[in-house]
Amino acid sequence: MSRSLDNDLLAHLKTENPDPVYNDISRIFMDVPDDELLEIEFLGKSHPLQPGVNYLREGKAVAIPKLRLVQAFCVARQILKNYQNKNSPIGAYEAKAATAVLLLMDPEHLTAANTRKRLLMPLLETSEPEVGALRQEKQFVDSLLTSRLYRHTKSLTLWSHRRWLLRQFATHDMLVDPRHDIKNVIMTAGMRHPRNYPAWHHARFLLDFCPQLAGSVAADVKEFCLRNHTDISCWSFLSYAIKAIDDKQRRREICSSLLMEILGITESLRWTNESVWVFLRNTAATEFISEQQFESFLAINRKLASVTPKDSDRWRILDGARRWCDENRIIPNPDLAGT
Amino acid sequence: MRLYYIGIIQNESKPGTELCAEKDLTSYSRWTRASYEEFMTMFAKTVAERTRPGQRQDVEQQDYTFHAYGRTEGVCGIIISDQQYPALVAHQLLSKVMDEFLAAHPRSSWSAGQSIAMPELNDYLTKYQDPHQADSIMKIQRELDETKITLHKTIESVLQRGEKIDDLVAKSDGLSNQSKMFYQQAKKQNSCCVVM
Repeated sequence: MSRSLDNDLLAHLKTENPDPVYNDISRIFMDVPDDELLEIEFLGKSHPLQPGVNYLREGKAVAIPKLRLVQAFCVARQILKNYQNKNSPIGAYEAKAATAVLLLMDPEHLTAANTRKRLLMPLLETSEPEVGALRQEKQFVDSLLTSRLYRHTKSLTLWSHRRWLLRQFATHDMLVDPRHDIKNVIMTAGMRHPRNYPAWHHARFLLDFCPQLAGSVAADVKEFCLRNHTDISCWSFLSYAIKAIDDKQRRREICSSLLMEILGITESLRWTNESVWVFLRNTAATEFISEQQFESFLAINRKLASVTPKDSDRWRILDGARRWCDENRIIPNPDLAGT
Repeated sequence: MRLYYIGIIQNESKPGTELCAEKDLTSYSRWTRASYEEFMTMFAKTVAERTRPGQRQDVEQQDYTFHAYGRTEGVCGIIISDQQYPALVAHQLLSKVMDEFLAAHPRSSWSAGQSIAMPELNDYLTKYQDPHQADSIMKIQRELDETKITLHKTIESVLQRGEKIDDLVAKSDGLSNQSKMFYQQAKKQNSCCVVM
């Protein structure tokens, strides 16, 4: 959604009372379901709603008109400003509702995100911490990160807030399921916004929680990479997951089987794009790949180069991958040669 | 690599008729899905009507590619994919779909533009989203001559001189007013996910 406001929108803003709009929209986020994430979208002028109807809802799908969002944002901004004043009558519930609307409009609103942290802390610093509040917060943040909201899926503020949240989970002995989060939150955000560095950076953080899951996570991410083969961020994370496998023998097995599988598909589907070949060359050059497997890598590289116009961008990617390996390859242990 | 649409259009007479089609709309949000559905049919017909018997062509438009295979029998298979989907796989799949359609349905059952039930389209749309299945169809299907597939960089390049996409959208019976407004709005916003 564009952040600019056109003249019609500005004219509307001046004439209507925004309070009922704010009340309706803020309420959506004070009651996020426990078992599913909201799918939020913004509606433009092509989808006018009847007067008095401030949003659409069908199960987990929520649609908010751009005009209504801006009206609600103006009210929310004032509430937060009042809350920050000394002796403010604004309570925690109201402040939290306002911050939800602020982040919906502006995912980089750091004050709103930090206010939410400050509102959570008193609930946790007691003899019986309200861990349900942490779960609810995760549902809220994950809804924003996985919805079809272009700026939210790649918001550094939201991903940073999620990182803080999961540290609180760990502090209060709550279960963090990296594999589930990578499949359901990271991959969804990665699809909504390709080459989503903040999302995949968060995936590294998640994997560091439970490195023993690296092998399973690598298998999951490999499938995502095959479906999104032009996305360098997921291929980079796949390399990271492979390196995180602690047991060296297992790392060798997974690394070499992934390489051969991906090489096979690359040859068949004639992939010559940079993201795939950066992954292939990085993997082929490790000490986990036998001579025979390396020869397969070279053979497929040469075969694709032979059917690609010489000196074209694609040809240079293939040629560059092969030459990079010449310079950077770690020769494997001779005991494993030929396996 | 994604598939969005597989359909068969009777293009012997103009305007063309969509005889059967399956769409994957899961990439789109709940309240814009209906518009994308309408646009898929509209643009598929536009490309099919401009695909000659025996011709294969690929038409790129923003993030999409329309793969077309015109048969001499008077029907045209269309696949809409993203630009990462391998064109050869799409055309192998078109060959398979068109052969099966023509073997199963005699000309009399569709020549007047009657709708045809072809439930396999839904299976193929799901199955060939999977890169492993795309890999397998490349291995088992006949060799295609890639050089015979004409590539167009925009839909406008297949239109006749003077025809504009915006005019076709505005005049189309198959698009609701809401969809037409959505098209105008998406163009203005210059977002990364502009309609078709």
